[in-house]
Amino acid sequence: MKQFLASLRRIREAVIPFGQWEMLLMRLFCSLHFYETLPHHVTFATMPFPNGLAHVIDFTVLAEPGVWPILRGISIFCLIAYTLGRFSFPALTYLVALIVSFGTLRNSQGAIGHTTQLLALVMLAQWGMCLIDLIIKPRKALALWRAGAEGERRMIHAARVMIAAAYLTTGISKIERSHGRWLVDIPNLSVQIVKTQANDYYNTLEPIEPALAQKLPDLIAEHPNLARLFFAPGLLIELLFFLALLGRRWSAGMGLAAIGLHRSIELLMGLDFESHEVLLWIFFVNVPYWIAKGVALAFGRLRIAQGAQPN
Amino acid sequence: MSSTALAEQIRHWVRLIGKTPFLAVIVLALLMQATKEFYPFSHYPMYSDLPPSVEYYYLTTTKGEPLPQVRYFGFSTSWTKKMLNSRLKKITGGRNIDEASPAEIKEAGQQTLEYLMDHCKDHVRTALVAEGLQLHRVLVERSENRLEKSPSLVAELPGR
Repeated sequence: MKQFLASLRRIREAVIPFGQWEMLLMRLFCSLHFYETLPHHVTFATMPFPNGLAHVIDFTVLAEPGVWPILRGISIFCLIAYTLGRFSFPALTYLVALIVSFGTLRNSQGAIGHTTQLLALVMLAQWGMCLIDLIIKPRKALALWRAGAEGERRMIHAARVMIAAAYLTTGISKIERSHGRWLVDIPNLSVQIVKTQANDYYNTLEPIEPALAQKLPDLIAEHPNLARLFFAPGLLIELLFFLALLGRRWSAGMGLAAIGLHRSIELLMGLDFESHEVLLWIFFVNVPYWIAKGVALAFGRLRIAQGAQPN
Repeated sequence: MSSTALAEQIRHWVRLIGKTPFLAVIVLALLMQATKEFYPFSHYPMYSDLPPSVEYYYLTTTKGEPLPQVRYFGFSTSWTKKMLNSRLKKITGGRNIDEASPAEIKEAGQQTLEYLMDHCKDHVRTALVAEGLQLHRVLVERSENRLEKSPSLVAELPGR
């Protein structure tokens, strides 16, 4: 028992001492993903069902001729600044304002979507960390110019914390909204699979795999316990995803588990979580580090990052 | 509160969060639960409740020919369902489709079709004005480990 308690006390959230080259790559990939996420055109000229800030701000200005291309163009300069870790606070202020404006306008059409939300939260978390740094170190006005390695690590950590919180929220929602019956009700996923496969078909009219459209839902409906055994790990991954903050190995392991979860959902239900997966690859799996570590082990040299490497 | 005192308060909270494992994760998760849907915050309610029946929607011409929705309208079928439900709640004052009358469902369906017509590509609109547009609903139910489907017509914009 004592040993168990001692091991529990060792559970500590770690701000991973990422090397600056790692953080540069993370921000680069994040910037590319951000730019790719922004649409080429905004066509929503009305906000029939205002969501969030749309209750107080009219975001339809984004749909006026010529406005969006200019705003999207300016984002390139901000993304470059953010990637290089220079002027992070003003750059992130612009980027957060842009994605929140677009996302709010899109979600004010009467249909709430969740495609861009995690990316917006990741940018918001980094902006928030910049803001905190600016408030608690007001004399370091240079923070406007450059956050420094520690500041950059805190920003990346904030992004990781935000992603972990989003997964925990998803898990909590399943328990709260189903009144604790989510696992019991899993066989009802069969009707959801029929629905999502039909949705997929009517989106494009491209034929869908009969095994997914009919045989799998029938199998789930007929064998409820088998279905519970198969789908329960998904809920566990969501609820325990915060363990990814323990260190690099946990981070990569939980990141890959969550990506596996998204892949299986896409296969079974045709639901695409591309943005979530991209962010998991960038901020949790962190492939460049493991490649560098592999190379370093192979050559028995090269120090990848400064300081201790938590596992 | 002076700016120095505010900075000290924030420093205190940052230290506390740094010392308490996962406190920030828990606080943010609870914040997202509390805000529900306030972009970019969300409580991610998708598939959090698994009822034994669910419906999906699709569009056809009045001749019954199905339409590839994303290609024609730029909105997915799941968006159509959400748009219909939002309009229905506005019409009924918050009731969902199970509690709404057929006339209310038809009105919400009509409004959804009009919104889709307004937002589709010009050449698609020209064709659909001539051919008409229908919104169909299919209810999928699981009872006694079997799946059953019940289709119905929700609303229609007749062709000219």
